[in-house]
Amino acid sequence: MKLPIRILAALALPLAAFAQQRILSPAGPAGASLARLGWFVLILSLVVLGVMWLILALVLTRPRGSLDEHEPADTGGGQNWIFIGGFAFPAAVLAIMYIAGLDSMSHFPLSGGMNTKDAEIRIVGHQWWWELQYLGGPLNEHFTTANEIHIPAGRTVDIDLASEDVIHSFWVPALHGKVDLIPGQMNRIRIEASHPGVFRGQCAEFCGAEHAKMIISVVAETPEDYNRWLARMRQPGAVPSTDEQTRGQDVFLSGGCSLCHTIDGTLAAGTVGPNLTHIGSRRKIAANLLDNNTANLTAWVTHARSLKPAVVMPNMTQFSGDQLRELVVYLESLK
Amino acid sequence: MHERMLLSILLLIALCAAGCDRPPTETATDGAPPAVDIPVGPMPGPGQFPPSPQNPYTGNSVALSEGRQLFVNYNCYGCHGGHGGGGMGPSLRDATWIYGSSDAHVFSSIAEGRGQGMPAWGTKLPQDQIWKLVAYIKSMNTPNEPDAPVQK
Amino acid sequence: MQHSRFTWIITLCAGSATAFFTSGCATKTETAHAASNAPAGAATDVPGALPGIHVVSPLPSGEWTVPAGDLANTRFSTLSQINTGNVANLKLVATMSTGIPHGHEGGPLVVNNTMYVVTPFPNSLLALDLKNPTGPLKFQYDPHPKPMAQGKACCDVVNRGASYGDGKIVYATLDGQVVAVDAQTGKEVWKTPLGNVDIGETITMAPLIVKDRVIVGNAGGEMGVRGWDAGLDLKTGKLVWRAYNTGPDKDVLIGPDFKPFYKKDQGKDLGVSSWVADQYKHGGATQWGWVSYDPELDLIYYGTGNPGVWNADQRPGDNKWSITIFARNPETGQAKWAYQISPHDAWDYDEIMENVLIDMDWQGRMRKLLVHPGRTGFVFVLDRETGELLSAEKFMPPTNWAKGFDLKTGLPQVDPSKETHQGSTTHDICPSSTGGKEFVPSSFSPRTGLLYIPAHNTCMDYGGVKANYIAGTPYLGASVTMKPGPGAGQGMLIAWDVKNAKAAWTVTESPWPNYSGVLSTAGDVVFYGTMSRMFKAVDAHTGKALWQFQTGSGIIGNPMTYIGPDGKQYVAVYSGIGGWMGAEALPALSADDPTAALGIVGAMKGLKSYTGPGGTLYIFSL
Repeated sequence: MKLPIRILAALALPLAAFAQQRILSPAGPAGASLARLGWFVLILSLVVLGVMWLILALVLTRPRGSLDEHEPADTGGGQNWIFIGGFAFPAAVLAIMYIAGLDSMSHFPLSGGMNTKDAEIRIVGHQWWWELQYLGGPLNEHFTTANEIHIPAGRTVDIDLASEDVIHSFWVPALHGKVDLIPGQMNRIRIEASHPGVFRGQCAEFCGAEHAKMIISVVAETPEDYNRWLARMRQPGAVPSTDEQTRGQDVFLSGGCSLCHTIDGTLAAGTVGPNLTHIGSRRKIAANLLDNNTANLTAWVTHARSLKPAVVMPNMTQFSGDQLRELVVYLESLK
Repeated sequence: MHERMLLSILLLIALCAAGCDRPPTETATDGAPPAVDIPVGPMPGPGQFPPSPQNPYTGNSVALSEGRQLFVNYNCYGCHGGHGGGGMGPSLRDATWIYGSSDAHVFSSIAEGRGQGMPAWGTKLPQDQIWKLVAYIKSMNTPNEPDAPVQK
Repeated sequence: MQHSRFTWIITLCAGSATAFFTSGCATKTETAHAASNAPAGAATDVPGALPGIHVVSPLPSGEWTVPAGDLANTRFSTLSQINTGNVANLKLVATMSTGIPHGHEGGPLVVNNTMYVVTPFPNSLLALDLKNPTGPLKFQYDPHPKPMAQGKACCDVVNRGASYGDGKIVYATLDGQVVAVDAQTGKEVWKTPLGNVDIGETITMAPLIVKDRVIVGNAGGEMGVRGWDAGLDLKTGKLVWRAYNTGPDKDVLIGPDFKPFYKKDQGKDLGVSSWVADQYKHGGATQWGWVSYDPELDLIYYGTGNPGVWNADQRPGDNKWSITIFARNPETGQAKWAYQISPHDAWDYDEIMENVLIDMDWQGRMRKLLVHPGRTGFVFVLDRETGELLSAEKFMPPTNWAKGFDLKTGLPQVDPSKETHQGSTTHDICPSSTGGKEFVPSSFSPRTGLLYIPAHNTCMDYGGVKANYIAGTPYLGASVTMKPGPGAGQGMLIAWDVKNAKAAWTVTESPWPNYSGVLSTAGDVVFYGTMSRMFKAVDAHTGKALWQFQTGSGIIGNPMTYIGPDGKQYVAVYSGIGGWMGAEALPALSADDPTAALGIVGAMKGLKSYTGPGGTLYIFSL
């Protein structure tokens, strides 16, 4: 009897870690609609559970007499319990849940109804990071970034979803349900954050060894902050202003980083890994796995595969201590 | 009853652990230059040849497919043909090797670069990636070749 | 009676004197050094030319001083000693091996009784004394280009020739330099580095000398470079102007003079706004083909190549100014007009082909035309004053990537099912990336009004893949396999009636593409070579085969003709297989990979048994 309680407690702990990814604390209308359904189903289920436990408790604790004091075993009856408790009651509960689910679904537009305007953002899923293409404005103002999605709070944002390799799924519980990124097909999602904030999500379709470390971060900002962010992202990478940064840029360009990464405004235009033009201003690195600080950046450059074993990026252990320091200083300067 | 439950949980854990037998994709070598020192030409004078390093990924099918992926990512296919058949650079599928055919020779050619236009990758790529490329290249025209070209 | 006899005698004397002097003049032009740049307004009339056709720049007669023989790129010679009646007697009089087993594109120059040959890498200049063609070389000049340039050349280490001007032979080396050599002594006069070979820029085209400028463009569209054209000072080699073919107007030298005809080509900084982010910096649009010049309008004309990465989905937008014909002022490089043939190319249809300049009666009135047979499989006829598209007709019948061109907007009517995309393969696109016609130059005869197009009928499957940019390596992103097109014979010599925009007749070659330049002469003979080692002569009016000669290796160069020191007419051509379509004959290729050599293996299987590599100059006469 003690075991189930201990198990419940053990399961509750990791739930606390995902405090910022709670389904039941929505931050946008779509999320709110799902959260309402969630709460409804949760409470209804708890009520049913409570009723069942009550009945079970009653049955377990009722006084028993001897065999002679009871009715013969072949006495009939009890069909009411079966019919009402086993059929009618569950049917009613399930029907209510079904209708509630349909009602929730009706608030989400069919994909065909979302093609009235072009998507503002295109997310291309890679193993195991998110490529973000911002498609607003004239063609030469489009830019590419990675992993940290900025959106303006208070209005809908249409996002195209595509995949470069396998099926991924875009899931930011506070904002929306899951929509898959399927190779060869373009899906569309329409999200809205009702207030500014940072919302965590993750890939919701198993996509390989590091599926669990493919984390999404949606940063909803006020429209002014969002426009400022857009303007900054349209700029090429910051030109090094100190000697250390200049040497760091040399290390970047000559040390193999440019084979896979792009820094706009330099000769580095590799497309295998995330765009690093503004890596210095991202809150987290490695697909939102680690905080963006000097220690983590350095560790990621030298031993990415210790932190995320199957990642495509190799361990770059060929830099001397000075070179590594300069490289990280340069990366941090790319705000 | 308790023992049976404990036993089944233990069995479950054992099964999961058994699934994780993928060989490590990373050998603990460092990614730094210099490239492996292998003489390309014949050596004058009597004496022993230096030992030739072995490719740690020989026979490793996971490494072969990673090598194929690297062959595409690093644009080897642009000069050497979509499946190594040649073009701007010579064919890697045939039996003619200008600079030597052993794994170590091919490693050197990739790492050091060659005078007529082969870039020197040894200063950019970690050694294990170059070994994987070597493994993929040597697998061409064998049944192990990943993503082998389709003959029409 | 006395009066009439006297008159008769005077007339006779006058007549003979005139005949004497004009024949003297004729001899003079045939042996003298023809000025490579005519005074402005000197349109030459060709004896026997069809009415309503005027040639724009002086045609080659005794010498051959620029790559096409003439500045207007007609590749037509006024020499008629060799004609349909006697060409069957043409015989080999001299040969010389260059010793280089790679593609011999281009053709020799003849100036002052000396023949100049530029070899493939290492780009030596050989000078042959035509007074003693079977004897020793007059001189050999070696520029010593960087060997690593060989690894940056997409399509064999070829060189398409030189130009002569101001006593110098000027040509380019594979590692991106332009060199001027004294034509008499063989000493280097100047050498100007122009292209950055480390990031993949090479130069394979034949520079054109126009007045006191050397016009040259770069190659490397497969390496993600940024294309440009430059004008150098002929005397000193200094860079006077460089016009990029992508990017902001100030880089493309688009200024207040720029008046493109079509709306789609009008606007500010289109070379930036038609690309995502700053992709124009890897936007290709190189210029590795032919340049023509109109002395009267004082404009040079050239076309640009593919827009960099072959995966079209990676570069949304019109991708200006790739696949564009430009008209520029040769002194300053400022653009006069531009016409982008194919916005957002998805098939690698470079349009660097020759722009043949003719004045012709077009639909009732005399017009200044620019005729451009393209990789796209269409013959484009433009008004070279304004850039207006007058006609675009398919010369290669199976062409299916576009139905035609809308003359009002200048846009191609693309078939959406033949577009190419990332992640999918589009099948049976005609023509292939090598085109209905490659860079191999056609020839226009004013006597027949026909443009002789060395064409080929090849189709392809093309699938885009995500490309990664690494400076100095190919920026491709496509998996291409080619195959011969429908119908008999992959090679065709198409005699295209320019006025009526249709083929008059076609000579089919089987099984290989026509991959050599064409020469037409006033003797009504058309010369061309085949990849199966045949140098052929056909009748210019009918295409009837008149003569052929088997050379040592397949021919991918351009035949030319000249008058030797003995007053006889000679014809010369290189043999030496290679180049893009000839790669299958070079030893370093495996035919079991259909995507090798950018996909040509599928169309050229078996070429090895028809020809091996070689490199020989052949000189013929009667």
